[in-house]
Amino acid sequence: MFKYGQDIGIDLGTATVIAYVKGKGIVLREPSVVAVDNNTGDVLAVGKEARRMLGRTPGNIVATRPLREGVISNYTVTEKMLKYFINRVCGKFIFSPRIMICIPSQVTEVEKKAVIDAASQAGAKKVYLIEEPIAAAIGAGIDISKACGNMVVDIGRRNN
Amino acid sequence: MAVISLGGSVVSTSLKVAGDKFDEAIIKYIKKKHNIMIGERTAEDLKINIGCVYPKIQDMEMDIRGRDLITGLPKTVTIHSSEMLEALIETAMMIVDAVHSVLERTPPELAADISDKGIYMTGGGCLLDGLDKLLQEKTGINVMIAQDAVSCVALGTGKALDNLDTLDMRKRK
Ligand SMILES: Nc1ncnc2c1ncn2[C@@H]1O[C@H](COP(=O)(O)OP(=O)(O)O)[C@@H](O)[C@H]1O
Ligand SMILES: [Mg+2]
Repeated sequence: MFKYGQDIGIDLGTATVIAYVKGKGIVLREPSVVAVDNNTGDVLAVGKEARRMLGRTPGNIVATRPLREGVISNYTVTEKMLKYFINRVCGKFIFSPRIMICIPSQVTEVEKKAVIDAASQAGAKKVYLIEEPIAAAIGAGIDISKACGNMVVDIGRRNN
Repeated sequence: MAVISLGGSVVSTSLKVAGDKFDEAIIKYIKKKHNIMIGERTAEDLKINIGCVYPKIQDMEMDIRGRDLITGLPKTVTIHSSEMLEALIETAMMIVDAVHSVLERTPPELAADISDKGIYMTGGGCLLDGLDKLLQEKTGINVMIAQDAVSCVALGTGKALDNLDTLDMRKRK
C-alpha cells in the first residue's frame, strides 16, 4: 500500500497510457488499446494484451485504439479503458485518490465530461483535467508560474 | 505545441504531424523504392532503429521483411539510414514549419524568452534521431529533449496536483 497514495496523474496518450503516483513514480505504462466484442459490447482485453490482438482478430472482435487524431473517437470504449487502468492503480490505495488526467487539447466538452465521469466512477475523490502542453511543460521541469515565455513541442503518436 | 507563460498557453497550435505520420512516410517510401509492402509495426521498427531526419555520422542498416508487390511473396531487403532520411525529411520539415508559425505568432517579449531559454521537446516522437538538430538548425534556437521524454507528460500531470492554484483548469467533484 502506498504511503503517499493520494494523488495520481494519468497521461491518456494516443499510443500509451502512463500513470504517475506522487512518491512512487510511474506505476503503469500500457498501450492505449482495447479489444471489444462487437456482439455483446464487452471489453475483452485492455493494454498489452489487446495490443497483441491488433490486426489479428476474428470478425466479431475488434482491437482498437480509442484515441485517434488527438480526439476521443470512441468514448464508451475510452471510458472503459480508463476505468480499467484506474482500478488497476487504485486497487492499491486505502483512501480514494485525487486524479489529474491529461487530455488531448481538441477534446469536446462532452468528451471531457465522459472522462471525468469515468474517473469518478472508478473511485476518484476529485478529478481534474489538464491540457497536454501545460502538463508537458511541468514534466520537463519548467516553472510555469513565472511571467516568462516557454515553448514546448510534444510529439506523440497522433497529432495533438 | 504551445507557448506557455503564467500557467496558461499564450499561443498554441495542433501539430498535424506526429509519430504515425513518420511510419506512413516509411511505408510509402519502401513501396515506391523497393516495390515492397510493409506493415505499420515494421515501419515503426525501422523508424526507431535506423530512422533519422539529419544525416547520421555513420550509416546504419536493417533487414526487413515485407510482401513483394510483383511476385506477391514475402521478401527480405536491407534498408539504410540514408534512405530513412530521404523518406522522413519532408514530414520532419512540417514540424519545423509548425514551430516557425507559432514563433511568428508569439508576442516579441515571449519570443525573446524562448530564444534565451530554448525550445523543449517531449513525447516519444521527439526521440526520432536528428529531429532536435534539424529544429535547432532551422530556427537558430537551442532545442532540448526533456529528460525521460516519454513519461514527461504523465509526470507533469501528477505534479500539477501540487500547483492547482497556479493553473487555469477545469475541476469537478
Ligand atoms: N526512439 C524513437 N525514435 C522515434 N520515434 C519514437 C521513438 N520512441 C518512440 N517513438 C514514437 O513515439 C510515438 C509515441 O509517443 P508517445 O509520447 O508515447 O505517444 P502518445 O502521447 O500519443 O501516447 C510513436 O509514434 C512511436 O513510434
Ligand atoms: Mg503524449
